[in-house]
Amino acid sequence: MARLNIRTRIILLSSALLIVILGTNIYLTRKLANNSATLAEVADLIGVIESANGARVAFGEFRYWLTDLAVSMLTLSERNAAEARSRMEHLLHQVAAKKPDRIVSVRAELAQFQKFATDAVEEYTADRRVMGNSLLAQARRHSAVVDQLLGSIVTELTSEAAAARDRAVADVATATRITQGIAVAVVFMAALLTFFLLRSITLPLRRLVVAIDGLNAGNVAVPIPAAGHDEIGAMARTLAMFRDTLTERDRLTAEREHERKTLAAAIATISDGFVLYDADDRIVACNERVREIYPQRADLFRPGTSFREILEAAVVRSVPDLKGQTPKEWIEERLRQHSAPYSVAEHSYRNDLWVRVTQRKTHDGGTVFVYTDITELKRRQIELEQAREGAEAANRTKSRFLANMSHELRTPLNAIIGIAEILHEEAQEERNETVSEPVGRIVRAGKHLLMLINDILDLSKIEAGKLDLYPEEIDVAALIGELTKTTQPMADKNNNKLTIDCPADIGVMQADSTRVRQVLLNLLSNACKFTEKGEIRFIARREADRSAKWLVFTVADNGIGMTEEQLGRLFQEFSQADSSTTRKYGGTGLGLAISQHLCRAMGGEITAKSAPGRGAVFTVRMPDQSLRGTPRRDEMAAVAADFVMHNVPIGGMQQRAERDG
Amino acid sequence: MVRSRHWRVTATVAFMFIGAIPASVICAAPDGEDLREDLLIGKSLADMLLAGETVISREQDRINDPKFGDKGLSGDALIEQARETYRKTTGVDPATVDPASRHGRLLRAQMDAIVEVMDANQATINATGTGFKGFIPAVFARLVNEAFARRAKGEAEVKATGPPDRIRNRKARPDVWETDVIKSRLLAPNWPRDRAYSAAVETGGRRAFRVMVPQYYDETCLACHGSPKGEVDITGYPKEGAKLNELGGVISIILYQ
Repeated sequence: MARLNIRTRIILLSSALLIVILGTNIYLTRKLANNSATLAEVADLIGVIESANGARVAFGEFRYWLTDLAVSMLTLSERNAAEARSRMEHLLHQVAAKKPDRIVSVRAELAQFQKFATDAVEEYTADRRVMGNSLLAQARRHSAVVDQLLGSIVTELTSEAAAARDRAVADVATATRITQGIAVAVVFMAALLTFFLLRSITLPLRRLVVAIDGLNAGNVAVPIPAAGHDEIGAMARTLAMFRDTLTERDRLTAEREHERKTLAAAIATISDGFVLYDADDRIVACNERVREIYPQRADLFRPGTSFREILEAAVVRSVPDLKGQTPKEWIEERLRQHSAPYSVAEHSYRNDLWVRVTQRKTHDGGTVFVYTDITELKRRQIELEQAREGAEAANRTKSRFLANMSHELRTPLNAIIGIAEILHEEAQEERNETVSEPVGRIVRAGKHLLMLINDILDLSKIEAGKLDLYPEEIDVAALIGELTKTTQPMADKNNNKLTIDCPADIGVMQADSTRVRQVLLNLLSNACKFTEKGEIRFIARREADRSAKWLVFTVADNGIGMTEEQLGRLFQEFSQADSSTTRKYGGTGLGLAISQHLCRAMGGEITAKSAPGRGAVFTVRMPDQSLRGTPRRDEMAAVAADFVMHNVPIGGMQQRAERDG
Repeated sequence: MVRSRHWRVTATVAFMFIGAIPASVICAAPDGEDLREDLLIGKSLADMLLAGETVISREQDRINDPKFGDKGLSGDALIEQARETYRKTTGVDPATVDPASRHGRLLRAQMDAIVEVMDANQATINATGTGFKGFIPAVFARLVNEAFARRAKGEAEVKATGPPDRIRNRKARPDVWETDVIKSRLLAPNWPRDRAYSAAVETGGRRAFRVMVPQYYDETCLACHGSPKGEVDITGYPKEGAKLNELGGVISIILYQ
């Protein structure tokens, strides 16, 4: 039964009972129909009996009126007799339908009676009493027979009707007994089925109610009855889902509470002030820190206060730096900033308080404010700014000093070197080895000192921001050829092979040719210096990437190479691969740093790759249009004149490049 | 009081039923002196019968009085009153009619019949303790006619009859000839009121002169014979539903030749 749903169960029960009731009804209807037929038969018989009795009565009247006629002679009696006779005939006709044979006998006797009686009346009318009496006596005999016949017919019909009625009564009694039996059985069956049906509903329902009560009381562990196939099963399933939802809700609630507490603790703990405004700009939550930051407005930082109230109080109590605005303008500006989805602003207050206000709109239209006290930060920033400005000023002073000093140093040194060279040449001509050797040393030391001073001068200029560049059109192939010619002796010195790789149609570039030459020469001389019996390759290429076109110069050697650490400080001033290098290979350690500065000043860059014992690859990338502005020609001439003036006396650019290391 | 008036009404009905026949309207067969005499005899017999009935009608209250014993209506007493009535009606004293003549002989037979009937019914008439005795003019007339028939046997008959549907006593039923005369003559729409019909007709195998004197309902007749039809009248007989001036009865006289 539990496999069927409740509706089906009830329909089945009702159907079963209805079928039984229907069957009983059909049975009763048929019985009633039979009974009705019997009763109709009885009624019919009773009708016939009434007709027979009526015929008997009519016959009595007929007889009476004929007798009356014989005495009174009244035509009324004659008419009454005729009427009674007609009525009797009609009733006899009705009885004849049931008892035709008997009625034939009755009619025969009746005719005899009528004949004699009528004759008697005629005799009386004619005043022949004796004859009338005689005829009337004969009529009386037939009258008795008619009466007796009609009486016996009535008796027969009455007994037939009684038999039919008894039959009907017996049928009704039987039907009643059977129906009563069925009724008892139906009541018993219905009670039994109803009991089982109710039981199949109420038992699980009660268990369900217990489960619901348990859930209502918050007990999610309450057992939920197993889900059947019926409606209660569906309810149980729903309840189980409800319980799961309840459990999940409890879990989520606990989780959210935990998160809320964590968040609250976090907000309370953070070193910044925190305020959350709702969509109507009223405070929802804030931490203690914000009250510490704004002690003057501590009483206002509580749920319910509007942002405008905070600002108005700020004007009145916190005396902010209004930056020249009126309080109203200041408030309006703050409100405008407030409507932005995200903003960071720093506000200073007259009591030296600096606060960084970070605000961000939340998904629900509210706003989160984080107030960071940056007073200390601001103070340090100002101090740092001041320190930096001091250091820069000192550096500029130092560079100016160095530049001046280099110039001042070079002038006497040129004199020393010039005179020493004259003395050295003279001593060599005189083959005075005693003088020639020390004077030679003076010349070499002087030149080294001059080189050092030149480098320091360049560096000073760069650091002092006084490096001027003079871009011009350079024929790259010519430049390469010139550099090759200059480098070849240095390569030969260490038995190195110099290989040039440059397309003939490489064309021209815009750059300061002196500085480009200085950079490349520095790299080539380094390669020659740190390579013995190896190969130095000098490659020039045009390249292009997404942003610009480049001229790429590569100087590769297979010399001693560098470690990772050496590569790291390669372009720092006064730094060579290591201190022993200076002793072994000479040089100031400023060349690469200057080259890098120059390249960057022209929009390019030098990169290096190397490994110990495996040589080094230096790559110079220069923009195809390396300089934007073109100085006026007279300025260029002036600078060039100045440059030449300082360099020409000691052998020009080429000599400088040879010395550079 | 009510009862006594009823008897008077009944008596009046009987009287009117009989009615007087004006000589002028008698339609006689105009053939010869005998027929004229026959018609006169017929009329005379009808008038005498009506005279007797008139007296009986007049005396109904006394006859039906249960308290009185001797009503003083012996045959002689009544015939005296009838003779007076006859004289007033016809202007002829019956005593002056020649007793030897056919007319006189038959008239005397009729008068004797009246005396006979009255004398024979003295016990009924004089009975005390009984109100309505049924001795009404119609019964009187029938009894007289029966007595007359015995006295004038083979010579004349007087009979009260009428339209078949108006007949109450089957002895008064019209015979075939009478029925035919009533239907085709007296009930004919153009038949003049009060005109009698007479004819020489063979009756019972004999030649006879027959007179049919019509009688019409007047207001007093309708008390018993009028509307509503079927309602029982004072004699216990249902009313016929008759209307004023309809043919109610006929006095039929047969004079055998």
